[in-house]
Amino acid sequence: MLKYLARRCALFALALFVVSVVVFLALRVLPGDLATIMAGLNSPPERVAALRAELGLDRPLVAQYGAWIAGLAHGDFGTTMLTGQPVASVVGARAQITFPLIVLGLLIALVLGVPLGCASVMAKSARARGLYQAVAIVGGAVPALWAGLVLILLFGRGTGLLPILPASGFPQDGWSSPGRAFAALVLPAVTVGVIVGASIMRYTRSALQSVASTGAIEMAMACGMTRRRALTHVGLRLAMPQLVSVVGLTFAEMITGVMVIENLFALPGIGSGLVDDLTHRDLIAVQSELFMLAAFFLVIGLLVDLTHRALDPRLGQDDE
Amino acid sequence: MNGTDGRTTAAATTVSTATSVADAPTLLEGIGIHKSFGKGRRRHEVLHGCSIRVHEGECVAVIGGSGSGKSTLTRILLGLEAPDVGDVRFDGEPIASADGRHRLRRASGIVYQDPFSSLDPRWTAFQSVSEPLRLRAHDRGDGGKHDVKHSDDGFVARVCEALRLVALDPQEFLDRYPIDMSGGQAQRVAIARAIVTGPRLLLADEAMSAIDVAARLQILDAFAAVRARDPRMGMLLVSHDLGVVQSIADTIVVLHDGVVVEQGCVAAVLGDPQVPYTRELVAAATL
Amino acid sequence: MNDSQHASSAAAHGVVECGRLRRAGVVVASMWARGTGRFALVTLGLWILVSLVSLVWTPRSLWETNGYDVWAKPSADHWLGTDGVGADVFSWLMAGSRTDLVIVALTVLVALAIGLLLVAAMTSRAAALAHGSVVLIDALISIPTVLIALMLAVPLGASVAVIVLACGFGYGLNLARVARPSAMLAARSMYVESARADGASAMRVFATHIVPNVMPTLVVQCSLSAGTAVLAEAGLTYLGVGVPSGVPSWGHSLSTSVRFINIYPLTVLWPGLLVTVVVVALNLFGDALREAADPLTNRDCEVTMGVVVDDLRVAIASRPILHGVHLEVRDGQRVGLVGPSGSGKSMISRAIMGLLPPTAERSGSIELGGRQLVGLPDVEMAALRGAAVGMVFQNPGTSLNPLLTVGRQIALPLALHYELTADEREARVRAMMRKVGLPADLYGRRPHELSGGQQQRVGIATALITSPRLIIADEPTTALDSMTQRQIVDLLVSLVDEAGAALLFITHDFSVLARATRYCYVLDAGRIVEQGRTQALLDDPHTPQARTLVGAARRLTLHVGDSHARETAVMRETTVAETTTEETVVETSTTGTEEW
Repeated sequence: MLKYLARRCALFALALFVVSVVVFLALRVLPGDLATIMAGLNSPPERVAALRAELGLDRPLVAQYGAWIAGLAHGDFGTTMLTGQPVASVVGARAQITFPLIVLGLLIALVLGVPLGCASVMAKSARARGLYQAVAIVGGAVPALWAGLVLILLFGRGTGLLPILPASGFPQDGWSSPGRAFAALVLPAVTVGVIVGASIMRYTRSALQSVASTGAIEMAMACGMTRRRALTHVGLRLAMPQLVSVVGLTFAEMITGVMVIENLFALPGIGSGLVDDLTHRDLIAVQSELFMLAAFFLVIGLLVDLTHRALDPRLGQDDE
Repeated sequence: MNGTDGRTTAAATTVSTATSVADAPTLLEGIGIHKSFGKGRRRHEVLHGCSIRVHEGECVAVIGGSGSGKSTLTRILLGLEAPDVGDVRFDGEPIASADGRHRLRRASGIVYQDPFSSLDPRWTAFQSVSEPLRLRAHDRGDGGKHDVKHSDDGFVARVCEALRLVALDPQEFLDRYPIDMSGGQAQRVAIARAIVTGPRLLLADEAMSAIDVAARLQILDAFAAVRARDPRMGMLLVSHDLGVVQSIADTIVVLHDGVVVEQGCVAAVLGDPQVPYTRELVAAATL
Repeated sequence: MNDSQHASSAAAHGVVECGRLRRAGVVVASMWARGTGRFALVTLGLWILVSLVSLVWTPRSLWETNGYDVWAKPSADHWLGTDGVGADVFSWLMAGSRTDLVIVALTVLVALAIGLLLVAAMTSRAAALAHGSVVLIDALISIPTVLIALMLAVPLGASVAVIVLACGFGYGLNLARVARPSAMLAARSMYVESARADGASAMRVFATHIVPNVMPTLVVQCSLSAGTAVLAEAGLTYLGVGVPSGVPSWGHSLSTSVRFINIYPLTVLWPGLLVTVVVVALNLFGDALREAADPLTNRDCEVTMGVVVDDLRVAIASRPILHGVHLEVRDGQRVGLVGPSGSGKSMISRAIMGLLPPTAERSGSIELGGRQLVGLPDVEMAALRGAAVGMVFQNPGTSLNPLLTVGRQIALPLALHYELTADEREARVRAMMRKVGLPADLYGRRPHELSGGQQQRVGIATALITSPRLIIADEPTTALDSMTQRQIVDLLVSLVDEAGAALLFITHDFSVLARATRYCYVLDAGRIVEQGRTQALLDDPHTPQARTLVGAARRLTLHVGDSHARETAVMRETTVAETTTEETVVETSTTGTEEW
């Protein structure tokens, strides 16, 4: 296991490096030059030159990259152009909205998706199975935007039929009034949860089915378990490694939905911040924010892989 | 090694009872073969110096318990893997070079244990059986075509002939997928594929273990028909089933822990085994 | 070649020629045959049609805005009403369909190209390339598509290219990852090795063997990706990095309606509904295509059993599989059930144990110790399984739970049926392990660390630990080599006799049967065709099926010494003491149905 740990962490570091390079270069592979774009196409050349000098854009690429990485290591993510605030603190504030939203959404997705997936495997009649199938397909076919809008129309304060939950915005003082902060996240999280839940339901179903065909379920039943118990106790446990991988994948899928939803519900999270910065051409901030987000997902991927390996003893044998 | 007669010296002395079809020319010969797997601490020596010989028209059975090295030995003999130490000679010529191995593989056919994993599940019987023909044609630059749709009439004829030889009706089976066949039928398709180019050497690696007892007879008949068509074809049979061995083999080589402990003609070895290990095998097989 | 041979060869040739074309037609027809497939084909067909039509005609011009007629309800003039600037909603959706069609088509193409390239790299024989590509995929796949889109939007501005490249790249990586297991399976298979040994080049192997075996997965993934691309378009356009704002698209229609949701909530209805329907159709299309085109689907049948047959001790009835089977295994008897594969032997054991899939129906009568099992709910069956009836499976490698240690596996029936302390359980398990000949130090090991023979001993121990009255052994030796086979059979027989239990031994090999049972039934195509004392059947089989089986067993058994030795070999099992119960069944040799 130790050898695997070392290898996997090395892989993680490598991936982090690759991502940083990719993000760095992507923003510089531009028709025209970074400073011009940031300053705006109609800016006077002196302004552009000043910007270029200020941001160190006239130095060689490698030096710029080095400076940026060094800054990251010290927690200096640059400063936003608009407000002059350090990116780190801005992102920090935004993260307090986005990360809880993601976690909450994922929890809802798991609570919805895993039991439904199990139920669809255990369904006895063809009609029941068809119904579960339909739920999974339609759930995954709904655009996040639309789902969010529908929920707002149903429950949102101001427009909804049952106006009980805030449909936009996040309390100014953040989490210091946890009740209101939480309430503001409910509708968005449910939106995320329902859509991602459909994916998780599909994956759970296929993981269970592949486990069910191995014969271990049959043997558990032969020892005296009912079919239901064999599927939930033995089957889920055996399918756990696959499910864990899947959660890692859905995390990455979620971010698109999250960004849209943050926008829709006017939550000032990382996602909408990123879009704003792009619109305002604050590319230095964008660079660091992109990298942070990507790194976040790489960390998730690392945790997922380690959990997967810990859960499946067969993998311990020969390190593939 | 000291290739006087190719026999190795190991802990157990090799016992040889009589000789078999030794008049025919030697088709394939392995001399002093050693092979290990794994590196460092995991290193595991599978073959400790084996020598074996197959004559034209002879069927040599390699028997032994699991882990004795039977499959490894035969794979080395067929040029699928290279030995660490030792020589393999085909028609008297060593096959150490890539060219030599190529030549050997071109002249040999293999039937594997499980027909359902040795036949491409998404290819029809025709596609599977004609593949060796297509590959040969391609190799010779006959404009061999990948595309089965435009296959040569000659291919179809040869495939049908091969299928008929193993008692499968071409009308029924040309267009069939392995999943629609029984184990015995699929294995016969695999045999047809192995012999469709008229190889000089056929390896059957546990070809019957995964097949129903009732269907095994059909497989045996198929092998018999093949050998009747090509009397000069040599055959290597790997099996743990002595009943099967008794039915078709001429010579037996007994492998135990990577060493040849006994060899000779079938009747002699099975009727009167000299070595304790062979006696155990024979006793276990008599139900 | 004589005439008949020529004819058959020509026919064969014709068959091969028409194969491709016929297959395409057959695929579409069989997709059409399913309800979901039909829906998918119709929807997608309409989509393409509407897109083409929109190039030349829409009900109203896209640029026709009417400030006085905003948010109008659906009417003859405006089939779906108007939007916030008075433009016709229907026309915009119609025009939008062609944008989305183009986006989806291009995205799928890009994804497929990248995916196939990566699959080729992963299955390459150059280890560096294979490992490197896997690492690359894992590293890049964690980057969400939308981030890539945002990055691309910087140099490219909001455009279709952003969506296509970002989504195509992300989905391509995903395709490769999802296709990896089947690709590796194909790459490591015997048929690929065989082809390589025959001199096939890597390119050829990839194109002719690996790709077709990966296709079904790819097809489904591509259709899922197509659906996701439509959704992504909606989201990205909303965020301002997708389709630029003068160009009609579904995402555009959705996004504009968001701003006015307070005024006219229903404005979101149509675009959202349209997108959902199309994405559903795309998903169903992939599923239907895979089912129709892949020769491997739907072949491992769902067992449906019909009705009929009744009476007697253990009788199981079914239409396609078991046609009124009657067999009895009384206390202390060792009975065999023999037949070729596909005759339904496994069905019988599973029917008795209640292990049939939920879609199967069984009827007839199964009495166990006077208790009727047919119609018993699963909960009560579960109480019997592992306590009154034990089962030994054919393939312990896949039946044993890989997560449980040997000790816990064997203890499972005890844990499920009895209240014992952990110590008591351990003591019994260890005693059982000694009885089946498992070394004590294997107690804490896992199945994958054991040999085949040892695994099967664990299986036997698990089946016997609760001293059930009936033991069903379903081909317990088929997966083992001949030396081990004999040991396992002997072990099973001695344990069963010692416990005085009944044994139903299922196999396809008559020679094993001779050693293990005294009475047997011959099953063929779901019917019992012959039954009788095993010995008598071996000496003198009546029916052709039995003759085939016995003949095969004889021919393939090792004959050493003279015929006398042969006879004693077959009768060997008389060393075990005779049981008390008398067999009163007379040997019958009907090839027909019931009547016993």
